[in-house]
Amino acid sequence: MKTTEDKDILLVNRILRGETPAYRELVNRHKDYAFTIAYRILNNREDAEEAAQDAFVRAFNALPNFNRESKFTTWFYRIIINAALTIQQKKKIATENIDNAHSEAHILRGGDSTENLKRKEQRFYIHQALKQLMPDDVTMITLFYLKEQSLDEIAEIVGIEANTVKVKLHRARKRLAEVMQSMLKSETQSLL
Amino acid sequence: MERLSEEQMWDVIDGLATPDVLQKHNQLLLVDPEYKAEYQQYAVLDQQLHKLDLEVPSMRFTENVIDNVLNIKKQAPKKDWTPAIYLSAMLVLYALLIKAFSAAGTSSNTPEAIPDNMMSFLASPFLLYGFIIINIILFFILLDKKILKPFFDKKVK
Repeated sequence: MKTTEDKDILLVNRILRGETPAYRELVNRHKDYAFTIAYRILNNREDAEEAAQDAFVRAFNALPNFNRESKFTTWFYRIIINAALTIQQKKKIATENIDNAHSEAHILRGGDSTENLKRKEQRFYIHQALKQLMPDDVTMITLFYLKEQSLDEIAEIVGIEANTVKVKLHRARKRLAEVMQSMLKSETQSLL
Repeated sequence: MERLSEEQMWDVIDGLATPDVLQKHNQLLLVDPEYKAEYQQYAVLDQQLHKLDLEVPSMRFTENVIDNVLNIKKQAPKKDWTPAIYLSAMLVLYALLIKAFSAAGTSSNTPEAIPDNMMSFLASPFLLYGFIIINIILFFILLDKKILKPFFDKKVK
């Protein structure tokens, strides 16, 4: 049975032989992850879509330089992160105000089962808290949790030592916990 | 009992803790309610992060990427031979000029004679026809490349 990585490499080989339609398959395989990484960094769907598309186009052009001995995703995620950071630098996106998060959370509460509501709210607060973090922190958390990349793989993607990744990930989660605590604290206060 | 650091707590959650740290952690869970609460808070956050959903891009995403890729492929500049042709023509002309001057130089040993020879060479029909032929060729190359080819390409589409 072929692993995901093997299939990626087979597709890359077909593309390099001139089969451009094979790129459609490669895009379909990775577009959700690419878009999610860009969205977490940029906090804006339009910008994230632009960054992810730009990353795929850049990857297509750079494909002849891709070392087929390594993992396609490791190489490609680096391109996405760079594309997202470039757009962020261009647009200097302001982080969303925490007050907006509260009003949106109230809207979420409209007619739902308690368990569902709780889950939705938890997810919502994590998303809001992620928006408050620095791109560096979000990148660490997204890569670690989204596709469960190992510390070594993340190190290769972002171009730093695995030990530094561990420290950065720890700090990012700590900051996330702090932001969530402060959000929930002010939410409780607003309910009282 | 001394507590574990936050980093060690995350190591326990990530499954990276050493056996010593893990043993200490299990003891702390039994005897220190504050530690247990803090650990559970991180563990819940970790579980929630594992459950994070993927964002889905627009329906046209793949098509947009493929369109962009195909556009770039179309626009990719094909090798433009015009400068190379122009430079080689100039090079040939330059070589011919040098040859003509050196021939003129050897026919007369006096330095004063060279300007006369030069003048006669510059006024010779050979040089004039050479220039005219090269310019006509270049003109047709440019006409074909910049006007005729784009015009017929458009018509074919």
